[in-house]
Amino acid sequence: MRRALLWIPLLCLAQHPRDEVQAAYRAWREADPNLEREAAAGGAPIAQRADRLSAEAGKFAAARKALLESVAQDQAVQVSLLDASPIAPESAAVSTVLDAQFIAAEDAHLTRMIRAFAGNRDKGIQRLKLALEKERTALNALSEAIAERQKSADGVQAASGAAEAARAKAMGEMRPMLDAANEAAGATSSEAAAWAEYYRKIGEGAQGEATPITVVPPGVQAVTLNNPAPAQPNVTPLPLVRYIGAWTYPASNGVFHGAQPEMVELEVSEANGQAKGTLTARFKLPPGNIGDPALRFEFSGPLQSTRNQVFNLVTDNGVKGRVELIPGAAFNLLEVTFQTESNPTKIRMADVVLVKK
Amino acid sequence: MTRFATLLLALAAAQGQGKPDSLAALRQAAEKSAAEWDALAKGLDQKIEHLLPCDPAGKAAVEEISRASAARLGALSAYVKAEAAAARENTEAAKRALAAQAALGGTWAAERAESDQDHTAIEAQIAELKESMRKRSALNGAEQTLMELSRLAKERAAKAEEQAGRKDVVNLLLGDLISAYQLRQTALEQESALVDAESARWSFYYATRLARAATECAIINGAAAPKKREP
Repeated sequence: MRRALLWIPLLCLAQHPRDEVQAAYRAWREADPNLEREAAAGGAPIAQRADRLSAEAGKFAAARKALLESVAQDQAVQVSLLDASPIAPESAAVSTVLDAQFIAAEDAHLTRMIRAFAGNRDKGIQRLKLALEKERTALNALSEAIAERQKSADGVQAASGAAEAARAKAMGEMRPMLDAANEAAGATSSEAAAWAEYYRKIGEGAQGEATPITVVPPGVQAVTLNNPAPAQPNVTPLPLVRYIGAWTYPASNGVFHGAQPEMVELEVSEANGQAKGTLTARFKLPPGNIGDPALRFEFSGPLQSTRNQVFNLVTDNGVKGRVELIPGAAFNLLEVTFQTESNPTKIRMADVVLVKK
Repeated sequence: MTRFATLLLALAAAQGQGKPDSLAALRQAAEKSAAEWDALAKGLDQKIEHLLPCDPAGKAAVEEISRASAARLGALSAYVKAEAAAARENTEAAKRALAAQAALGGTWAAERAESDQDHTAIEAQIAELKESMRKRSALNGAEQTLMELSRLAKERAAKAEEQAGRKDVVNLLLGDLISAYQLRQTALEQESALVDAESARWSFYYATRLARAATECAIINGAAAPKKREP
């Protein structure tokens, strides 16, 4: 029910292009919501259920990829629309420079002629002077028109510059959106592959007898490090790296039994077959408990030829106890259990799974 | 349907890309005819200074340059009109882009919401798988993969949010672009009208130039006529 509620916002957002994707998502998520919870039961049925979900996840991924590709395609069209419209610099034909030069030269020529004929009373010359003056008037009118057109051309040039700058800015924001859509479409494939891998691992993990995380499954070989440096002979059946080093309790989804830790830090070192370590922890106390949530102890002792290493510990306030280091199923996991003698106001026992830093 | 619309838009874009070619041809024609007019205009005085006023070659020279002027302004007018038309298309394209961006911005918002939901669902899966791992350690590998998938879903949500956040900026910039395109379109339309008006004035100027040549010829003929009657 809780999971079913999760899909409600998706349904509210449902619109035509996403319908297919959301339907595929629901089909996948609602097909077998209890697989993870029931995976511990193991066996062929779990593997079959995982296979089925893998197929559903694949359908969802294909629908989502198609949607994102279509989004990328739409975005590409928008980008190409703007990309296809760069504004070229203004043509030389628009310039009025030659016109202005021509008019200035002709005007000077006409003015000289008109001046030369000034005061001449010959009728023919008077007619010619009149024609010249008409020509100069036409030239002046042309000069005004050209000046007006030049002003307008300057306006076009300024508007072109502003438009080109605005286009570049818009493209600067739209191109990353196109890249993101392409990237998202591409990432869908790798996510789909990861889901297939996940369900395959569920199927594989469901095979054979159930084994808790602190027990080595039968037939599992000890891992050999490909280390070119000569390795020291190991006393422990597993590599030393499974015990020594810096370990921490994960900030989320940590595994524990008993007292719930808030923080656990463990440092373990080894020298000449002797292990030495320090554990610092703080626990969440139940409501009403006025005890001390902090605990720190040190331990040391010879490494043993057993998988689990057990050492004596001494807390900061001198209380003695016992700590056990249990290598986890994965290389980077170490289960730590400890118990102290009577230690008023302090946590006396805990069991936590730490992750290697 | 979406694909069909996309195809239409792509075709429109392709057509739009074809325009610059015709615009370039018009631009070239305008520049060529401007150069021709300029050459004729500069050479006119030299061409007619040794001709007698009534020599038909003088009138022909002025008529030739008048025709070149008309051709130049005609080519310029066609080019500026084409530029104005292209500017109008640019304005429309920017408007279409703005409308399409509204839908695309919504897509990213939905993508973010879905990725968030997916991330929550995966976290729930991880919690349940961890419980199962207490009994079956071999599920550890699956858990690691699931944690990676959780990280991917979270990353996907963050990326989608970033793109959804661009929506307002893109809308604003496209709004600015539309305004800028419209201003340019208006300026070009005004320039086109001025070129046409100027063309009429050039015609009038060359008419007065021809009138002056006719007057010069008439004066010469008026002086020469009595001489013909003398014998």
